[in-house]
Amino acid sequence: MTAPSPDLASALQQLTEDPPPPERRYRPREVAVVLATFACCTLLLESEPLLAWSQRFEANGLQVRLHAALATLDEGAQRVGLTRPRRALLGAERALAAGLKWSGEEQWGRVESASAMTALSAELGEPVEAALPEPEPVPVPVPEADVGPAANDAPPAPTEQLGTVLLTGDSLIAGGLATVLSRTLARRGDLRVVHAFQIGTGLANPEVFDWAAQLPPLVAREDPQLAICSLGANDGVALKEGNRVLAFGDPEWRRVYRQRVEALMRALSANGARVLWLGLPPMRDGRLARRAQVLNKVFAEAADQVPRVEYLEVGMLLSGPDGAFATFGKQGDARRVRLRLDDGVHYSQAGARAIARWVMDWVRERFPKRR
Amino acid sequence: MVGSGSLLFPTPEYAAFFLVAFLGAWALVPRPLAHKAFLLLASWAFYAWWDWRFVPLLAGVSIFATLVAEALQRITDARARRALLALAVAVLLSTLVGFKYLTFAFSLVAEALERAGLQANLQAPEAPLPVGLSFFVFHAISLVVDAHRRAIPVRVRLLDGLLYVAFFPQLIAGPILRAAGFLVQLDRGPERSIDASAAALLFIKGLVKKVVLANFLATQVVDPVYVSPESATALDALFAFYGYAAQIYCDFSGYTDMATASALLLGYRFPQNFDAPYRARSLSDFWRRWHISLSSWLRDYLFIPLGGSRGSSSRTAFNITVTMLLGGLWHGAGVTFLAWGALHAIGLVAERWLTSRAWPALVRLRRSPLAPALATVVVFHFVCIGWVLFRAPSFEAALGIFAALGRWGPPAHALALAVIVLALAAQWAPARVETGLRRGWARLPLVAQGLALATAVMLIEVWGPSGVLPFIYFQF
Repeated sequence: MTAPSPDLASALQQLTEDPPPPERRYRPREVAVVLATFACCTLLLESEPLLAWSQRFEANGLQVRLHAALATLDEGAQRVGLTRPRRALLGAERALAAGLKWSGEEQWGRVESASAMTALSAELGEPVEAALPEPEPVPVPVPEADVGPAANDAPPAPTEQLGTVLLTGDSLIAGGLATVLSRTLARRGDLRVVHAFQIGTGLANPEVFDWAAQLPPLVAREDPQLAICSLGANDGVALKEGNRVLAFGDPEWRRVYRQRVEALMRALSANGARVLWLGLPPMRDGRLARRAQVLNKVFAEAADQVPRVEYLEVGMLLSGPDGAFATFGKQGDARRVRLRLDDGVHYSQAGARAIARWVMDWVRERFPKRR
Repeated sequence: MVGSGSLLFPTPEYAAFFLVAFLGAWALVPRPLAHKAFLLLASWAFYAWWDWRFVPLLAGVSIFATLVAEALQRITDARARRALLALAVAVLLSTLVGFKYLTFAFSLVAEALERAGLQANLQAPEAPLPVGLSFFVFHAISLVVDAHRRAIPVRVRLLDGLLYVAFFPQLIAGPILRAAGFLVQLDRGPERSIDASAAALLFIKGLVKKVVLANFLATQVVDPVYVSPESATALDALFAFYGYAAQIYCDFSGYTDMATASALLLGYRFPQNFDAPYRARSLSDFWRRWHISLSSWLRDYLFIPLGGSRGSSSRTAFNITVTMLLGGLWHGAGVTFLAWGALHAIGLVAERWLTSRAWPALVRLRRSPLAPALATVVVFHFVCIGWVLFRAPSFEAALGIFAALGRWGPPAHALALAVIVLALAAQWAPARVETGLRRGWARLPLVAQGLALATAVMLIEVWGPSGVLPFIYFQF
C-alpha cells in the first residue's frame, strides 16, 4: 500500500476516458444476434446437461413446464444427432483420464494405519491421550430414543473384534472429525482406519457421485468391522426418480430417499460390520436447519429398519440448551469453546472432539477390549 | 452445501437472467430513466435470488448513502459536511460490524473474560451474513466520501446512487467501483458501441479459470489437504500450497472477468481488478496488482486519510499496519484473517525499511541481473505463505499444512502439477496473444461468433466438474 498518492481526478479520467482505438465495435443489435445464436446453439448442443439441470429444482408448475420443454428439445436434438459432439468430447475426456491414470478420487479408500496416526500425533506435539480425557470404558450415556431401538442391536458378542474401521461420508466427517476419530481409535492398538470421503456429495444427486455404486466394492475390499458414516448435509434438495422430480420433504420424496439411505446402510453392513450413522447437526441457516431435521428423521427411521445400524442424534452434543444452533458451547470442563466453524455448518476441532468422545464410548461398549 | 438458491455466473440461470436483462436494458436505452429503473429492478431481483430477506437491507443502505451524498453536494458549511460524513460512515460501518463481526467480537470478549477467571455467560448472537455485504457497504462508503471530497463531477440522483451500489455484475463479489467514476458513466448512459469481442473472450477466459482450473484445483488438490492436513504427505501439502495460490487467483480473477464482460455487454466499463499479480517484484507491487479495486479503495479511503506515507517512517509503519489488519478482517471475521493481514503488514514495513538501506551487499544484489527473478520468487512465496493462513480454518490447520511439508510420502499425480503450472504460468503470457485472439474473433461473422461461444461453453462444461462449487469470495 505504498503506492504514490493517487489523484482522484486522474483516476476518474482513466475510468471515463475512451479506451485505446478498438479493433471493432458492435451495435447492441449485433450483440443480440451473437447472443441469440449462442443461446440456440447451446440449447441444442447441451440439451442433455440442461435436462439434468432442470431436474434439480423444486418441483412446481414452472419447473414441470421447463423440464417438459427441455425434454422435447433433447429428444429433437438427439434425433438430429446434435448431442453427438458433446458425447464424443465426454468420451475423449474419459479416454484421456484413463490414459493419464487419473482417478480423480485420491482420497477415496485411503488407508490410515493406526500406528501411523499415533506417530503423527506425537509429531504434532499433541499427545494422543489429550484428545480424550476418559481413560476407562464407561457405559454409553445416551437415552434410548437417540439410538436405534435395542431390538435391532444384538448384545455385543464377546468375540466381536475390531480390526478395520471405515470412516465415510461428506465434508462433515472429512473435516476435523475424521482426524480426531482416527487418533482416538489409534489408542486401541493396531487398527486400520480407512478414509473414504466425497466432499459436496450426497444421495440426492448420484450423477455427482454415485454412493450406491462406489461403496460396495470398497466395503468388500476393506472388510471393516465398524463403519462410521456422516452423509446427507447436501441432500436438502429435490430428488430425481426416473423421469419424475420429487419436491424435498414430500411423502414420496421421503420414501425414495429412505430407500437410498437404507440401501447405503445395508451396503455398509454387508460384511457384518456395525454401522454408526451420525445425524446432521443443527445448522445456523434457518432453511437448512429445517431441512436437516427432516433428513435426520429419515436417517433415524432407516436405521430402525436395518440390522446392526445405529443412529446418533449429533444435535444434543452440540446445540445450546434450547436445541438450537450455537457457535460456542460449554464442554465438560465448563470452559466455553467454539464448537462450529464460521460457515454455520461444519464442526470445529472442539466440536469434533465432543462427538468423538461420545462415539468412543459407544465403540468401547460395542467392541469391548480383549483382556 | 447446497443452500438457498444462488445466481452464480457460470449457470444456466444466470444465462437466462442475463439475456432478459440485456434485451430489456438496450430496448429501454432511449428512455434513460426507464433504462436505469429496469437495471435497478433486475439487480434487486438478482440479489433476491440469492437471499430475498436482505433486499430491504441493500435498498436501505443505498438509499441512505445516496441521500447523504445528495446533501453533501448541496451543503456548503464545512463543519456540517464533516459531521454528516462522520455520521454516515459510522452508520454504514455499524451495519457491516453488526452483521459480520459481532459473533467474532463476542468470542474474543468471552475468551478474554474466561482467561481472566470470570464466568462469562454470554450467548453469541447468531445472525446469517447477508451475501455481498462487505462489497455493497464499501460502495456506499465510496459514494458518501467521494461526495464529501467533491470528487463526483455530476449531480448524484437517487436512481443513479441506488444503481451504482446494486448494479448486478459487481453486486456479489466486486470489483468495487468508485462512485466518482461510475456515476459519470451512469449519467452519460451506456456506450452504444460495444466491445463485444473483448467481452466474449473475457467471459470464456473467466469460465475456464473458474469452472475448469479453480474447480479442479479446489476439489482434487487443495480441499482434501486442508480438510485433513494430518493425513497429507509432503507432496500433497506442497501441491496444495502452490495449488491454492493458483486456485484463489483463478477463482477470483475469473469471477471478475465474467463480471466485467457482463458489464461491457450492457455498455458499462469496470476498472481492472487483477494485473498478473504473481509477476510482482515487491510486496507493494503485489498489492498494486492483486484485487486492485479493494487495495486502491483501502489506500484512498483508509491509508491516505490516516496520513499515508508522508509522515515519519514509524507513522507510515503504523498506517500500513492498521490498513492491512483491517483489510485482513474485511475478508472474514476470524483471527486467521487478522494474522494474514498482520503478515502482509510486517512484509510491507520490512520491505520499505530494506529498500531504504544502502548496505554494499544489498546494493550489489539489487544490481545483479538475477535480482528481478529472485524478487519475484521471494514475493510469490511470501504471498503463498500468507494464503495458507487465509485458507486454513484455524491456526491448528495452518500449522498442520506446514508440518505436512516435512513428511515424505508417495508422490501425488503429475496432472495436478501440470494444472498448477498452467494456471500460474498464464500470467506470463505476452499481451499480443490476447490482442491476436481478439482480432481473430472480431473477423468472425456474427453467427460464427455465437457458434464459437456455444462450442467454448460446451468444452468448458464437459471439462468442468459436475457440480458448481460456490465462489470463495461470496462469504466476505
